[in-house]
Amino acid sequence: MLRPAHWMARATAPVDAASLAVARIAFGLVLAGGLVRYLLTGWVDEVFVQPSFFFKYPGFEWVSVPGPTGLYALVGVSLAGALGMALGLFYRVSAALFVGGFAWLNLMDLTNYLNHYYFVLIFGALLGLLPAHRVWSLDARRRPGQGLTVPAWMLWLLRFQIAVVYVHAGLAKVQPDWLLHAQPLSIWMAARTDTAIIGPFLGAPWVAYAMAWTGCLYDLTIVGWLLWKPSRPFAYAAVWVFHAFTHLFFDIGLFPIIMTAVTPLFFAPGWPRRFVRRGREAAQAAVASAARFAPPPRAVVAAALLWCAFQGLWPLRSHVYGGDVLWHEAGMRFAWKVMLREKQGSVTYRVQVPGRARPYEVSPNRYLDWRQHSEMSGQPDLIVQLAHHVEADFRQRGHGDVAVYADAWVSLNGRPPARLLDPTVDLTRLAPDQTGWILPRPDGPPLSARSAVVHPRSVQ
Amino acid sequence: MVSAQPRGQGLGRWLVAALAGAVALTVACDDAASPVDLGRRQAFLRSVGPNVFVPTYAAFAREAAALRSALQGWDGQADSADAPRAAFTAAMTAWQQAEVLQAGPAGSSLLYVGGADLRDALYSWPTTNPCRVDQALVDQSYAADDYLRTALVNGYGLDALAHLVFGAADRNACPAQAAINADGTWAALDAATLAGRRAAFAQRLAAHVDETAQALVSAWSPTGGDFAGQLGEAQGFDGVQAGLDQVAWGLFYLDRQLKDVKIAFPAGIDPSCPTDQCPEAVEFPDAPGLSLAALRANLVGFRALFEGHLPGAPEQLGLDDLLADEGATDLVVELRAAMDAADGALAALQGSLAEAVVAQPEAVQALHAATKTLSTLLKTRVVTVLNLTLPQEGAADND
Repeated sequence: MLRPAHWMARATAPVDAASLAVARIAFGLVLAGGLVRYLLTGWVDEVFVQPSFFFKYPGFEWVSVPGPTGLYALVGVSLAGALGMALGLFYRVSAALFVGGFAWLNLMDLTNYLNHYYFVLIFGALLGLLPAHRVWSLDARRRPGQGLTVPAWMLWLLRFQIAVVYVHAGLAKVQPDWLLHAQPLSIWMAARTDTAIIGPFLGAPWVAYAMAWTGCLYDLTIVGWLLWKPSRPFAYAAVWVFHAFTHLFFDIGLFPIIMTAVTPLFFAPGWPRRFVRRGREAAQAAVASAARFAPPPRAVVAAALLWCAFQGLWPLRSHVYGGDVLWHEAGMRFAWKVMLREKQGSVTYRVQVPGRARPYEVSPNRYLDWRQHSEMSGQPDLIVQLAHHVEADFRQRGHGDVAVYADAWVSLNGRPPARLLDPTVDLTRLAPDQTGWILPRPDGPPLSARSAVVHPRSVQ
Repeated sequence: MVSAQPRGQGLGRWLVAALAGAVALTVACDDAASPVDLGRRQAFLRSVGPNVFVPTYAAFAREAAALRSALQGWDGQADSADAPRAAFTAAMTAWQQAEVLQAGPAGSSLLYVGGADLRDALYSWPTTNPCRVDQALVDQSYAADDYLRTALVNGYGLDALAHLVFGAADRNACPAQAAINADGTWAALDAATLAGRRAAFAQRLAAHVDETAQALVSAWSPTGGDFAGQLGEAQGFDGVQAGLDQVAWGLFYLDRQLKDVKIAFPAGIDPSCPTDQCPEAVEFPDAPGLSLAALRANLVGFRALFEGHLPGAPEQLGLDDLLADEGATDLVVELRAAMDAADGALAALQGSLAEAVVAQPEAVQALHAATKTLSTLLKTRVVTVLNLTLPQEGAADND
């Protein structure tokens, strides 16, 4: 057991900044590519220009949605920031531009929330705070003499952030739908049977079970394998294979690429120099002779420890709430509960107007596009947000003080649809501490792993 | 130190091997254009074209040709409109069965693979503009060579034709402040002139509908565009599942158009209706009985797409079979029961839909409730079990 002083000594030991630089370059390039993809696919228009209503994050209602010119400018600023990070040019400013722009883009509409966008934001922010531009950057060319090393704790912090994703993603998979019923993997695999070569076998139940258990074990243990030097190359090969599969089978965009790009941070800090002959010996000598860094200020230590504690504990908050987080969604976001649910809902609002015998029935289609509608219909807090908007819309049309109820039906992982919300509760008058308005998840297992195995003609 | 270099080379070899393996696997598995039979979902795509789309479109094309013929001798007068109206009713009923078949050339060119916007060219409802049709009668723009190229979709097609064939002979659909009323150009037309223009306009539109219907049939035919073959091999789609997605999107017509616009609006269930009922908001306010016939045909089309064959035709692979493949046989039973309930609720309505909205409000509400049940099953469990991706969901990644 090492004492704090020993930990501090190890934390402040100088290590080669090369792996940090490679992570910076890879991260910047991948995110720049992602933003270019956003522009080329027309997603900016579809996601931000066309909708007429946007769901807000609590506390961030003030985040506005610019007009089309502003939106494209915002994407442009983020793109410039990402490229600036990759080049290591005006690094801090570039990182701030990227993180700020990307955060703005993501805070505009809650239905755009993705776990990997959250990872990009926090990893980008951490990377921006660290001197990842110390080597192999234009800043280092502009202002040489910044040194070739960084204190070891900086790499630890980034490794910890990566580990948080894997471990919590693994823990989240330890639940019956995933392990005992191979859902929603079985549903997803059945839709991938046109994949060449292996496709015909993907409908077989054992494949979904094998993938479910392998995925869970991978997430739970990969960090350990990456930390243990003898297994590290094999583990990184597994990272490639795992993320190649996830990229192939699931539309999770940049996530596999980002994780594959940043996971080499687990290798020895000087690993990139093995592939760069020029100046290698001099750099290795300089690293070997570098002086130990001074301990960081206490405020920095405290902030780092607090951050780690938050990242370690916050994803577990759903256990405090009880119930099935996949159903009620409380504690679902910012918790690395990745690829755990196939959830589709149908919501109709019933709006009781004063003086009218029958309530109006309002489809969310009046306010939302297909994508927003699909995201909203399984998430109680979003259903409540739209209920408030419906109330405001009716008030604006002169209907006065209306009550808004929801007929919300949801199918989770193939279960028969069940009511998500109490249809007798006026969603515009929910008290902050009110309970019971979200109904419990129906009993019973999800859809069985498909009975049809491999059709004979499928393997001709 | 001595062993550092070999270890480094070993690491490099491992990384390169892993990278190459992963890339090879990805590339190999990404090739979805294999000609090999790849399962029941592809079998469905191969079957649904020849067994549902093509015969439905062909039936409509026959009626469209008959409509064109029926309008040839029409003089534009209301008292000689029985035959044209009967032909229009037959054609429109045939088309309503095709409304759920939105994949391929009929569909939006912005949304569907092979989409050529033929549906909107044939029938752009709910984007309609009878006033614009009356304006064209006055300025005779319909006679211009480029009218069909330059007019908006609500200036031609079956929706415009419905106004010409069923609309009041002596009134127009424009507000008083519209130019044709404000400047008196409509009032200046005598009945005979108006009838002559109405007949000529209708004949031109019917010819266009007929030609568009033939084009749609040809686009699906093996001797034409062979979209049925393209769909069957998922050519141009991002895999078989993407083809299934696009075929299934048509089912949502039941939710968005049939339930919310055709029933909820006139029944006063939807807030678009400011009063207790809005019978004037039925799909065909000038053609009694046609709105109900359209609903019936919509449900027939929905069931045909779900079961993979037309009524009375031999059983084929349908979406019901694909749901059963995934173990959701209970869902198939529920869906059939919900379709039967919707048919039953529709059969309980008497007279026209506009009359039923006023005289049988509870029965119309029951019809709405039945379609809502069907819609809920569709939006929740069918989408889940078949892992359908809905339109615009592609405009984002997952998780």
